[in-house]
Amino acid sequence: MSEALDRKLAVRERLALRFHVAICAGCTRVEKQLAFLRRAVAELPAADRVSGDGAQ
Amino acid sequence: MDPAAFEAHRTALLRFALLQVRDRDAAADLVQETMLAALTAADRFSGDSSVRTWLTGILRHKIVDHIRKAGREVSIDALAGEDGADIVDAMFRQDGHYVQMPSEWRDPGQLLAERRFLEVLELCVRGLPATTSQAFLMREVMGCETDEICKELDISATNCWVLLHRARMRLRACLEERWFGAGRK
Repeated sequence: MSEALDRKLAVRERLALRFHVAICAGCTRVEKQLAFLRRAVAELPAADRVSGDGAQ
Repeated sequence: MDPAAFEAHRTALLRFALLQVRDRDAAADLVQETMLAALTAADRFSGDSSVRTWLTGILRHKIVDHIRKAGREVSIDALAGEDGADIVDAMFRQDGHYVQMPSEWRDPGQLLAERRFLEVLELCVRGLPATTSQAFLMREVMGCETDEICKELDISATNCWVLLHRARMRLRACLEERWFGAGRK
C-alpha cells in the first residue's frame, strides 16, 4: 500500500491490493490516512520559517 | 549549468533542511553552502540524476555533517532503534488482523489549515530515525524517485520501500497517539 505511493504497481499487484483493501476495513482507513499524510507533509514545516531572504 | 536551474529548488531544499535542522539560520546557511558547492561543481554534474536529486544529495551530506558537529550523534534513533520493524509488527496480530483498529481521521482536509496540527506532525517527522527520515523527506519533500533515493543512501530498492513504509507507519501511529487519539470514539 505504501509502495503504491512510490512506484507504479503492475496491474496484477494493483488488482490484488484493491481486492484486499475492499474487504479490509482497517486497510481502507490506513490507505486514506497515508494519502492524507502525503498532503499534510507537503505543508511542512509548520511554522512559516521558509520565507525570508530570497526564498518565497 | 545555469545558476537559475539551482535557484528553482531553493525553497524545497530549505524545507528539507528545516525538517532536520531545528535552527533556521543554520538550515538557511546549509542551503546556501549547497548552492555554492553546486555552482562550483556544476561541471561534475553527471546528469544521471535530476538536478533536484543532485542538490538534495549535496545538502543531505551537509546536514549529516552539521548534526554530527553539533554533537548530537546520540540522537533519538540510538534510543528508538533505527530498525522500526517493531512499529509495523506491533500493528498486526498473528492472524493478520489489526491489533488496534485504525481510526477514522476526522475532517483531515481542514486540519491542513490548523497550525497546531501541523506542529504535531512536524514533531512526529522529527522523531523519525535518521536514515528513515532522510529517505522519507527525499521522497515527500523533494519528490525524488525511489531509485534515486536508494542510490543516494546506498541501499537496495526493497530496503528503500521498506524504509518509506516504516516512516509512514511511524507517522500514522504518532498522529493517532498525539492527535487523533485524544478524541477517539
